[in-house]
Amino acid sequence: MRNFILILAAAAMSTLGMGCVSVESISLTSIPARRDAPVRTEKSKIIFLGFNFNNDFVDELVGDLKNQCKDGIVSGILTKDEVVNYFLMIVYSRRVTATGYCQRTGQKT
Amino acid sequence: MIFSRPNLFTFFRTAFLKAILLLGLCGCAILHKVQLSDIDNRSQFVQVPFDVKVSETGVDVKDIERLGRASGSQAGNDIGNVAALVALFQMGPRSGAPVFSEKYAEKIIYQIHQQCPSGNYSGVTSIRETRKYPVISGEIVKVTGFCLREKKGASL
Repeated sequence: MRNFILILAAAAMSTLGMGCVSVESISLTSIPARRDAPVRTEKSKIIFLGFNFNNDFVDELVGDLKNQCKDGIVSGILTKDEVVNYFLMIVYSRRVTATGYCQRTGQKT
Repeated sequence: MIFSRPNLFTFFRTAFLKAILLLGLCGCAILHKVQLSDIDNRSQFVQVPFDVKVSETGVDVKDIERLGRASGSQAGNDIGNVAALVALFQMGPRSGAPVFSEKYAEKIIYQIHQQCPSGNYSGVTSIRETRKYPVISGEIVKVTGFCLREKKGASL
């Protein structure tokens, strides 16, 4: 019985440590026919006790994608906005992931 | 000794309450939605950044209800009851607090067109967020991106 409680407590602790993820929003742009050069970027911000005074971390997404696709077009962008809860919504993070496909000049289909 | 023990406690309690009040007045930024458009990073274009923001005041009736009931007076309780009744008519899916006019975000199209009349945009980031203060909130729609202008002498 004692072992069972210990295992249960360990499972609960490891679940809390992993964090629960929930999706806030998803958006997708037109997907190109050529998808041989995927690009990806992820930005996140840890928030403690709900105190968050700006969402400027999102502004870096476009710059990151542009750096991965010099002189080309990034299309088929999937933007995923998630909340990762680490501990009882006291500590959580906002994570925005953007993935897409780079088409260099002359490759667009 | 400058501080006796009760004075020290009072000092820290007041400082803590002031800090909480200050943080509350700063307004927390709540992110609701982020959306990215396609990015045209071809070298034949000059990319001119643009930034457009529209907002509307939101009113959180739940906050009014909580404050009314916390006052402990009969008038406060009555206000709380009215706020609870109003909240019944504001149910349904939404982001942020209810606003007086839901059409505030429509003018963003005209504002973008003013900044980029060619209509050739790239890397448009649309952000829906709330700036939360006690009772009221700023319901914000922000769009940033790049207006593409062809370089002189470049061909498509």
